[in-house]
Amino acid sequence: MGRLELRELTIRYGAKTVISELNLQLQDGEILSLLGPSGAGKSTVLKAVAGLLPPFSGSIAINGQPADHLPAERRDTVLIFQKPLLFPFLNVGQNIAFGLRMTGHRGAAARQRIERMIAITGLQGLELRRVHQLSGGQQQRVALARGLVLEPSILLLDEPFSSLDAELREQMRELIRTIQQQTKTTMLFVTHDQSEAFGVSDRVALLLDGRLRQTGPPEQVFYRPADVDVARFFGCNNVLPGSIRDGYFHGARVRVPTERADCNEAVAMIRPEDVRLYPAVPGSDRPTGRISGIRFQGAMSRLTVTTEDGPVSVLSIRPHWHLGELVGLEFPADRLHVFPAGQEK
Amino acid sequence: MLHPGTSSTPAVRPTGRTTTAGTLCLLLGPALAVVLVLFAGGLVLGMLQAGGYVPGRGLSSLTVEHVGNVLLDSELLRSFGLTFYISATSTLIACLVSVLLAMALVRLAGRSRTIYFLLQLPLTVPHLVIAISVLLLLSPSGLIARLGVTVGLIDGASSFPLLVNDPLGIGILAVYVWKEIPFITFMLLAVLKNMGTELLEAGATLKATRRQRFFHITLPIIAPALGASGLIVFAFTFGAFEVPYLLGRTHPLLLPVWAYRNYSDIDLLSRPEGIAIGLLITVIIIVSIVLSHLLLGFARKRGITV
Repeated sequence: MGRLELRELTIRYGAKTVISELNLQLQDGEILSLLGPSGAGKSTVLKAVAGLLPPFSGSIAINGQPADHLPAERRDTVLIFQKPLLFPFLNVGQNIAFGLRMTGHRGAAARQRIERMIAITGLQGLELRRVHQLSGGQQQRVALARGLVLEPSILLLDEPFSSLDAELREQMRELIRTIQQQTKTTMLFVTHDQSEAFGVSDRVALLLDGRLRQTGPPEQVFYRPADVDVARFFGCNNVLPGSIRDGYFHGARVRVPTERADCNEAVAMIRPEDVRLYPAVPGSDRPTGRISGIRFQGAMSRLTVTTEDGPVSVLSIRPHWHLGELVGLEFPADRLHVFPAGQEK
Repeated sequence: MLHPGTSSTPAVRPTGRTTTAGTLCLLLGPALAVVLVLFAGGLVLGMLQAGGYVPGRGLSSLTVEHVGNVLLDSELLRSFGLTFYISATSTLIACLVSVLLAMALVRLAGRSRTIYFLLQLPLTVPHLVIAISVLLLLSPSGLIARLGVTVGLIDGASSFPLLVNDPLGIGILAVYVWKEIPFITFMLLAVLKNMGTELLEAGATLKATRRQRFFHITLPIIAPALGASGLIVFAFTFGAFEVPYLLGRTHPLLLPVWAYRNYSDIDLLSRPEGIAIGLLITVIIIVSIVLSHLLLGFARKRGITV
């Protein structure tokens, strides 16, 4: 069993509030990614949950029991750090056994747990290796095994793959999913990498400036952002100004139905890959613009179209447009996210 | 590493400066010459003299008689035991206090360089100065005894416990402990600062209590530096002459004092024996230093930054 509940959690470093009134729940066996840019306070939350940092106010409950008063060593959590932080004076096997040794678990049962974890993390044959003889990926797997062998209610992962290369990161994400399926451990995973969060977790919680802005399944937070900042964080960077009247957003040559209340200043946002480009047709009521930039980014190319209302960013696969070409733009109504303008920072 | 046949790129030129063996010899020559002449030369000369070869004084034949005399002397064991006791005890006390001090100061040292400066101050004070200070403070007619008499704690100088020229070598121990604590603490602080708090935090989330974190994380990390600096301190105190000469008893003598007495004896025949004792001390010091280096090498191999 592994349930975590954070209620009105506020964390301060001196006079500076890093986390403000955070409410978050993790269900048993769930992987939740705490996503946010660097400096948003993600690691601070993990440290508070692990008992390494006292919160200023609020409460932390693990499996329904208050854990605020418990020191790190008595909490039913294990924190896997950004760096593997293996003990250099111990070999792989001894590192994995460290926690069990500290808790007095010895003998056949402990050995069995260690062997199981070694098998799950694919570290067979490396038990006697010194840790400095391992690759970065292997070291992080040892760190995982060392934490998981304690069978914590909640496994806290603080960007554990950030120092690995792209291919290895992908392998480690798969490993995390496999481990979670096999051990059913509840995991709180911190990352600044959107694809990592989406690839690993059941739910994503977005933390911006120390505040939780949206929580939900990856598709929901990505395609249905709660506010302007969330939309911007996920790359929805085209902002069309307008107003909301009678259930419609009215912008420059854009009219979209919306459930939001009427307001004189509103914005409609659209993802760059959702903007469609057409050859410009004279006399058409579609907005038009000129291609002012083409940047190849691998699978997609980013085009900048300069319109009367400002630049529009468009992502396109194998674009056949040329610099300076006049194009027509379409903003599909079902892809536009409408927000009152006051929300925009 | 480039594997043969896997790359057609031109050979990678080594970066940085390259030094040929000849240039290296020339560069190291002056320093090496001083070491060879002063240390190796002195050692060879000492070995010859210990072998009874002192032509200027009419001794021109090599013999093991003087070394034998020293080794068979009943005083050797007592003298060796006392020297070992003084060195080992002062080293142990200094190590213990240094560990506690370094642990207490590490957070402060992370924030300010002042701690390092304060630790460097006692390192610059010569042993002789400290020895004289201890003599002035702890002798029966010293400052503390007089203070004791003034406040009525003791009746007179004769009631004051013997702390210098005493059988337990308390005065000598006090000097060595005072002098060596900053040195060892300095070494430990560097390791502890390098280690940071992350390993301890990892240990805490892996259920290690505060005590377990000290014994299972901190101590193994600082052990090589502690051992190495302890061995250096041990080697120094084992061979140091001036402090036991000033603060030690006349019998049994510590090995360096015994060596000096023999060497400066008006009986010239005692000089080879003095040198033989000196050589014995040298062997012990060299072994300690080699052990210290092995320990540091071992730690570096295990990825511990010392």
